[in-house]
Amino acid sequence: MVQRSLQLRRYMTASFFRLAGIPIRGTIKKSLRGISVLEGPQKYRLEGWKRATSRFRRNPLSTTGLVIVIGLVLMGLLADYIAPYPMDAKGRVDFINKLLPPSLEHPFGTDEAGRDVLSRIMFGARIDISSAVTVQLLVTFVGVVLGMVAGYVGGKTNVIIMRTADVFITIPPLVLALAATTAFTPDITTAILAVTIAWWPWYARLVQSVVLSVKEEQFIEASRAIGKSPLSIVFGDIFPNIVSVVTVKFTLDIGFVILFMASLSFLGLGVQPPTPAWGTMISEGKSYLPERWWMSAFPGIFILLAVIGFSLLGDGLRDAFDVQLEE
Amino acid sequence: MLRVLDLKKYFPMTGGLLKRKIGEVKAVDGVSFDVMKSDTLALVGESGSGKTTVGKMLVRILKPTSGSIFFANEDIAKHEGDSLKNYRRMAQMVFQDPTSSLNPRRKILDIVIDPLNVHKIGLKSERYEMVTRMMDRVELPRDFLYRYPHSLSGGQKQRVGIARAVIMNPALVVLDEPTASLDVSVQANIVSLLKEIQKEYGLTYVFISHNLSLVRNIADWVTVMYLGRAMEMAPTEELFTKPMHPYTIALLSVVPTVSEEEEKLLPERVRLEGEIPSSVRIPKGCRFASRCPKAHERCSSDEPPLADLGAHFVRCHQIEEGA
Amino acid sequence: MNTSNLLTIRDLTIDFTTYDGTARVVDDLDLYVDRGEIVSLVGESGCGKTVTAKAVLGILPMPPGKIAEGEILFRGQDLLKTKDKDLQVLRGKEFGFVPQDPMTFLNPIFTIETQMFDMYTFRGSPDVDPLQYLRSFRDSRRRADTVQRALEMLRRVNIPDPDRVLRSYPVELSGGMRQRVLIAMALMSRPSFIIADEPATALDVSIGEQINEVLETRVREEGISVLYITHDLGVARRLSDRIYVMYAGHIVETASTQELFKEPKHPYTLGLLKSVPKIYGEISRGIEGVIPDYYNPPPGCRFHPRCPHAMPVCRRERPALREIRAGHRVACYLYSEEKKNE
Repeated sequence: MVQRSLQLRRYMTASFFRLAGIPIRGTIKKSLRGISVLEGPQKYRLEGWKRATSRFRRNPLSTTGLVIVIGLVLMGLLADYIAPYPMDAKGRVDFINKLLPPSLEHPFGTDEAGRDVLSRIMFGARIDISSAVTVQLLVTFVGVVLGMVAGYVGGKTNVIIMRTADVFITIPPLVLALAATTAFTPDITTAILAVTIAWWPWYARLVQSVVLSVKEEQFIEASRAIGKSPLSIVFGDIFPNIVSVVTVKFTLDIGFVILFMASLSFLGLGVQPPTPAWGTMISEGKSYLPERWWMSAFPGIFILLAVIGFSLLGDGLRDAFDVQLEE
Repeated sequence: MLRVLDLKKYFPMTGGLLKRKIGEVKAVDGVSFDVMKSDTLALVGESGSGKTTVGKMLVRILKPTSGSIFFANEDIAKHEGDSLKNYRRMAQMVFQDPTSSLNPRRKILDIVIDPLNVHKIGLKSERYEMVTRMMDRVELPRDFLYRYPHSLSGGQKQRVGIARAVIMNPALVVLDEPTASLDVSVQANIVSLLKEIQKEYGLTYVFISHNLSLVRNIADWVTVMYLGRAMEMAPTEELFTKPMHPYTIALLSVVPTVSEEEEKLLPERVRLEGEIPSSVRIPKGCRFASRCPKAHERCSSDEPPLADLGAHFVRCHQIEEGA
Repeated sequence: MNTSNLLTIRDLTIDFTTYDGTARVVDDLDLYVDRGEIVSLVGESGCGKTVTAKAVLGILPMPPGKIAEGEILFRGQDLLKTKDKDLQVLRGKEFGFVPQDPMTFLNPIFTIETQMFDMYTFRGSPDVDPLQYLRSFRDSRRRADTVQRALEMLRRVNIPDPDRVLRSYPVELSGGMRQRVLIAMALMSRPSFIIADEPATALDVSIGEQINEVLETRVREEGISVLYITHDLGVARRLSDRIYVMYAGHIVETASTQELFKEPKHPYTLGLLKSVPKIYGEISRGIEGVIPDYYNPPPGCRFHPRCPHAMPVCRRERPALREIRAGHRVACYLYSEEKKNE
């Protein structure tokens, strides 16, 4: 089961990069089975890849961003193994040790139920980051599909889709989320869906505008002259041109979504106790401020870190893509 | 092999709140010509002449508003669907700007192999071979296949464009100012490559250009267009030594020359006054009358027909009368 | 080359530093323009001619670009050593510029009249503060004078309906019109020197011809010196008194127009001439090879990899420009040998 999902993930990553027009390393390609990929000198593929990454690496800010993001993701994934008190995130309480300030045994202190703040933060990373990524994936999927259709087909379809998008844009995400979680079960799934509904129009708009401009390019005319079907033009020619823009927005927005989801959990909508989420932790700790600052401060710092990390990463990606084109 | 009859392309102009049609841009307003197999026909003109539009109609990037395009005895102007797709195999285009005609996010390999994939030419395994052979033919190193367009120079990109157009071995290739954005030395390179390929594959070219010296070197027949119609058509030699239409003469007179011998072969410099009229409001009578140094009264009221002077066609009142 | 020339460029060397290293795009360039002459700088894309022009105008982007060496003397004053403020004043009063693409030079949201007025009024005045700018709108006398002057200029460049053009926005005008407007703008402040960067290239042949003619007539009339940049030898031949042929960052040959076309000497010049499609004869294969990589230029003469006459010495040291006939200089060892043998 794990094997399959790993392979699937690899395939998706590889196709993503291939579609984006970023050369992928030969080693990843080898793990794709049953996909016909044309063989060719690996050296040249590597060169392109090296250039893109070296440019990225040269910018210390984006590398910092990447490091932060990877760090946080790893932290979440490996929480079971590296958290000092994993059970504290899964329901254990220890009222004897409650409200302890940061110390060697509890580097971030304990909360009002005696749970180790550090461990809870580590597990919290899972929720926060994965829900943000899920939202982004859904939003991107919906937005990209609708945007491409609207942009390429044009005419009435375009008008319908774009006006619908406009309607959804006017709804403040927070209000929508509040309404949704009050009307339905106040759990993480509802929150994710609510944010998705409020958020997709931005992507549709972005994609549509890029498609509109790309559509007029001569290479699209050339593809029509060759006799490609509209579907094949949209996915073969236009799609690679939107990938860079969408990826950048995707990455940059994750920071914002994390923040937003944290606000939701701060308000009590979303994750339910005892599952830790950074926003919930801040909320739970706020009544103990300012003397027992550690319960709210540390989760807050991690939110900050996540937002900064993703933003830097997104910026760096944008620069890397831009330069590739500017060359 | 190719016969074009009374080809027209009008683009509707929309305006106003309700986007109603308020006029038409008559880009091409009745053009006819023949092209023999393996010949090169040059379409010459300035902006607004309609030459590019004609080219695009020949490869059906645009659909003619009216008129016929007979290719191997079939009128492809009205084809759709499968028959259109079949035609596309036979007629391809090399575009003007190599930078924008290649998808910047795709590898050269994908770009050149595209036509083969679309029309399912050869077995999948053979296609790579065909591409590498094509790369050799256009004198590009094979490892360029894995590069992206931005790392190629203008001349190299144009070669990719040529490879893409020719790889299916079409019968007709329309070249839309293929060297306009290239340097002179690169231009010469590309043009000689085009000539070699034409000979080797027996291709028929329709060469669109505003550069008369270039046309002189590559074309067998020349059609001079102005504002959507042909003003003069003749075999190349004839057009350059005995130009008849005032517009042709004016164009020839401003060709930049690099030696006195060349200068002597061209007509005296004619300075054309005024601007090229808009294709929306085509002037009454002869389209060129507003700028013609030899215009009469009649020229502003009657449009002259294309007179056949024996393998030399001219659309001008003066010639008819004078001849 | 004496210092009474209007513009003298000596040993100009410009480097561009990017991610991939440092490229020497202009190397040891010598050029001069005398009063009242039209001088063409001819070269293909990437040879550095536009960079040189920008350096003279002082609009070279300096972070990636850097002037490593050399001097640009205008009336004896080194522009590279002049303070920015003084440079702006000088530029405004003495220099005119006609760009390649008229559309990008004109602001689409202002009428021609506004732009001509602004250009003329604020030329050469650094640090115009917003209040001053706004006040200029109310100075009706000044405005009226300038409008008159503008109309006169537009007439001089053969614009048939100057009133209408003044009131129009750039989008409403055709390419040829816009270029004429730019020439008028350049001429308005009576510059002594105009740099024209391929002004006719983006236009149709017949229109481009009109533009070149207008430009030529006007500058001859006023005795304005022109540095005309182009890649088209034919155009250069038509317009200029003298020609500089540039390749890969330096001048390879220079002579009076007549001399250059009668007796071209440098292999690159010969190659270029051969590549130009002609009304008679066959077209050549062009020049073999590609322009050099500026980050790693070939040693010695930058043209030697493509030169059919390359000799061992060409690979070692770059030839200097040497005078082989009166006013005709070539940078090539083929001719220095000749000279040695004389």
